Amino acid sequence: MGSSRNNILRSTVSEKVCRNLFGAVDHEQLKRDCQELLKSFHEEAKQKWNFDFVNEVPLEGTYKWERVVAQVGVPAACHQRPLLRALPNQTCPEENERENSPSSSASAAVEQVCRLPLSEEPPQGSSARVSKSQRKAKRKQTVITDFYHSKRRNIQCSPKDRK
Amino acid sequence: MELLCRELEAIRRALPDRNLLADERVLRNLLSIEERYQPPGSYFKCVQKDIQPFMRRMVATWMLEVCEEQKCEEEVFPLAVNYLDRFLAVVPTRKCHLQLLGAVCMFLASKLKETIPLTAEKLCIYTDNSIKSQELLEWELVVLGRLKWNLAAVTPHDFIEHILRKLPLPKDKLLLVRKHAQTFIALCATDFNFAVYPPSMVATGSVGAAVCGLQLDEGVSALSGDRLTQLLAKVTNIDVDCLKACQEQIESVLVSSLQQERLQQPTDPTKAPDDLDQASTPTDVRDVSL
Repeated sequence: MGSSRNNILRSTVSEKVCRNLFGAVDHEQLKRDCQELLKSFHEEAKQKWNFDFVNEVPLEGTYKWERVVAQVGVPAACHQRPLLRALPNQTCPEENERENSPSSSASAAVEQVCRLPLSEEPPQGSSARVSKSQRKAKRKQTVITDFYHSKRRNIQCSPKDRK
Repeated sequence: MELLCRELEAIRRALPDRNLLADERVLRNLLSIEERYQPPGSYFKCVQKDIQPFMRRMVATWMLEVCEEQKCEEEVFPLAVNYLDRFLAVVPTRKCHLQLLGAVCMFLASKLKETIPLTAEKLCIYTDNSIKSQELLEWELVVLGRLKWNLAAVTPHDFIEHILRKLPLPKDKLLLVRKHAQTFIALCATDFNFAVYPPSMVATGSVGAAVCGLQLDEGVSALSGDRLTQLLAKVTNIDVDCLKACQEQIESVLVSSLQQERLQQPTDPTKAPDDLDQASTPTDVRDVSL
């Protein structure tokens, strides 16, 4: 069935445009490259946010991750302002910066992140961990560094990094 | 037996929003954010080992042909090429994966801009089935990740209406000027030299080239040579000499593209007139006299 569909589709495109430009594709290599790149995204995000997005575990670092219990069925939770009490002078550029976390599939408890002075950092114990039963609600990151500047920096640095 | 319905509903488009087009802030904001979406520079020297400028042209030309044949919205092709350049600027890519990347970029741009987007299956057929749908979908995620999901890039198309409404064009020529300008923009997207220019400059140069090509200055003196360039430069706040150079470069790309086509023609005398319409140069440009 699949091939007959393919044949019908094929009849809607012109032969001249259907072409393989650069020879045979190494499908195994393609798969390896794909996995390698996806892995590097996770690693970058892990470093940047000191959060293990694959296992949903906070790590030591600049950010302190705090679990916020979501109110079930209240999308307003998504519009909540970030927790600012620990950093009254810090601005949270939430509106102009939206970045998708690499683990887009995760549906965890709403977590909000805020930067704390390192000296005040409380232990990141069990309270920061997300239990499986609480993974129903949407997670949102509310504070990130200047997105566009960091993006430009990434673009300029990464070619050298990769060599 | 499997049936496939080829009947397409007419695409519904929103009317042009005068509130957006007449407000100076929109143009100002476009000009202030456009550089965020540009590739930082040529990636052939420092990032890519396997990919050379002529290959980028090959894949871009193929992408243009696919978009033309599938009658994609005008923005889809330049947007897809923008994704391609931004990805290649940061990820060393193998030559044999370049066409897959081009297909993925069209897939994404089409989803962002079109009511009925291109399907993965169709794009695979256009690569002569050298890639599988599954691979296209996997790489979609890779490209999205590398572009930081930042797909709403500013393209030269975003400036066209803002520029056109500032020119004293005869009403009956407006459609033609727009169409020619869009075709020049597509032509520029096939050429890497224009990828590092701000989209506003490519747009302004393309409108300039379209107006000059149509010789509209006979009726309206404000549309003649230097006066047109000065007027255009003011609209998008570009240095007059830069704009002049850009427009000349655009016109020379058209000339060389037409020459290439002429060279290709005799090699294939069996070509039907129909095929010619799908050649690498968009049909409309051939009507432009320089």
